Amino acid sequence: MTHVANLGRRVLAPVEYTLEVLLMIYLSVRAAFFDQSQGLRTVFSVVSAQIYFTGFQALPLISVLALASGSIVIMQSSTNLTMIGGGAMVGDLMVAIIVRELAPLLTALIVIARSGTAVASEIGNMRVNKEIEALEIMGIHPLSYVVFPRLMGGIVSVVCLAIYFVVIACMGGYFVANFLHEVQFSFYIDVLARAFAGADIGLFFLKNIFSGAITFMIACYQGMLVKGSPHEVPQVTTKAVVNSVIYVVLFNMTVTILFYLSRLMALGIGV
Amino acid sequence: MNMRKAIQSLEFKDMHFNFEGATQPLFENISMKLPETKAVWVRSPGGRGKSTLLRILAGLLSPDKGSYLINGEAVNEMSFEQFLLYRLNMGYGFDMGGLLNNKSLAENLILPLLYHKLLPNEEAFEHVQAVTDMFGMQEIRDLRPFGVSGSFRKLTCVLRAFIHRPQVVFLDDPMTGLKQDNLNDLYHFVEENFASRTLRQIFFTSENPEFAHKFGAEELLISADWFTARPAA
Repeated sequence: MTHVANLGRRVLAPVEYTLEVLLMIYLSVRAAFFDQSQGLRTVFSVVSAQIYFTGFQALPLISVLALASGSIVIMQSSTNLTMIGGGAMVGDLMVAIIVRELAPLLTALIVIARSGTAVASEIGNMRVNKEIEALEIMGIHPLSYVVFPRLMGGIVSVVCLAIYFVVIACMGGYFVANFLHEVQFSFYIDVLARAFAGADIGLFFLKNIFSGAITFMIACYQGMLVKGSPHEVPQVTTKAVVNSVIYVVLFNMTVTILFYLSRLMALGIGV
Repeated sequence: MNMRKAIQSLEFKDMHFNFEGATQPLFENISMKLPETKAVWVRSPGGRGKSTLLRILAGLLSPDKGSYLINGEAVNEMSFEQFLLYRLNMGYGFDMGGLLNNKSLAENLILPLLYHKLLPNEEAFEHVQAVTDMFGMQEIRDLRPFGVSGSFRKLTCVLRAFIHRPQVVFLDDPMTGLKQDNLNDLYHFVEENFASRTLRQIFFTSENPEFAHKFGAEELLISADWFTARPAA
C-alpha cells in the first residue's frame, strides 16, 4: 500500500507543480490588470530591462550557435542529398531543421542558461533581502511588479532571439553553400522562400512563445519559493534550470509530434 | 484622489499563528483589542514573536486560524486590492534589509508616492528631498543601498515607513544600527509627524527603552497564549 501511495505521490508531484506555476502566472496577470496604480511606464521599464539582458546581451552567443547550425545543416544536406539526387530539398531541410526545431530549442536552452538562472536567483535574493515584502508593504503587488513584466519581457526576448537565430543560420548556410557550390544569393533565398509554409511560421511562433513563457514562469516561481535564507538561492536556481529544460524539451517534442501527425493525417497516411 | 481608509481599531479574535514545520504554535487563541495609545512597545518575555506580531499587524503574515480585524473587518478575507486601502495608511520599517537594491535611496523613498500617485511628481520629489536633507543625506541619496553604510540603509528603511504620511507605523527594532545623531533627528521627525496629525500610532520592538520613554509608550507584553498591555516602566 505504501508503494502505491509513493507512486501516486510521484505521479501527482509534477501535476501539482505545474498547477502551482500556472496559478502564480494567473495571479500575476490578474494582479497586473487589476492594479490601477501600476502604470504602463513601470511595466515597460522592467520589460525593456528584461529584453536588454535576455535578448540583446545574448546576441553574441546566439550568433555563434546559429552560424554553426546553419552552416552544418547546409554542409551535411548539400553533400549527402546531392549524392542521392535530392539537392533541391536543401531548402526544405533547412526549414525543417532550423526553423521548426533548432531555433526554438537552442534559443530556449540558451535563455534558460543565461536568463532563467538570473531571474530565479534575482527574485530569490529579493526575498532574502525582504524586497518582496517591502513591495507588499508599500502596496505594490509583487506579482504584478516583479513577475508579470519579467514574463512579458522574457517572451518577447525569446521570440526575437529565435527570429535572429533563423536569420543568422540562413546567412551561415549561404556562406557555406556559396563557398562549396558557388550558389547565387538570389537562388538561395528563392529556395528557402519556396520551402517556407504558413504552418512553419505558426509552429515557430507557438514553440517560441510557449518556451519563453515556460522558462520565465518557472524561473519566477522558483525564485518566489525562497523562504528567507541565502542558502536556498542556489538550490532554487538549479531547480529552475532543470525544470525549465524538462518542460521546454517536452513541450517542443509534443508540438513536433502533433505537427507531423497532422501532416501525415492530411496526407492520409497512417493514423 | 484619496484612496486610503482611516484605521480606527486593530483587534485579534481567537488568533492562532504557527510557522510551517514548527511543533508548537507561536500564538494560540489570542483575543484582544490592541492599545490605542500613540506609541506601543511590543515586548516578549521569552524573546520570540515580536517581529512576527508586527508582520501580522502589517498584513505581511496571516493568522492560521481566527482573525485579525481592522475597523472590525477581517484582513484575511480581504483581497490585495481591498486591503490596499488600509495598507496605504500603514508604514513598516524592517529590522534588516527591505530596500530595493536596484534603486537609489531617494528612489526607494519616492517609490510609494509615485506608484500610488499620492503626491504630484514635483511635490513628491520636494518631499523626499526635504526628508533626506533633514537627515544629512544630500550627498548619498542618489546612491544605491550597497554604496552606503549600514546605518544609512537602516535609516532609509525607517524613513520610508513614514514617507507617505501613514496613520499607523510598525517599526521592527528601529534603533539598532542607527547613529546617535540620526536617532535624535528621527525622534524629532516622528514628533513632527505626530504633531501634523497624520501619524496616529506607532508600534515598535526594541531592546533599548529609550524609544519607548521618548514617546511615553505603552508596553504590549506578548506570549504564546496571552497579550497584556500596560504602561511602560
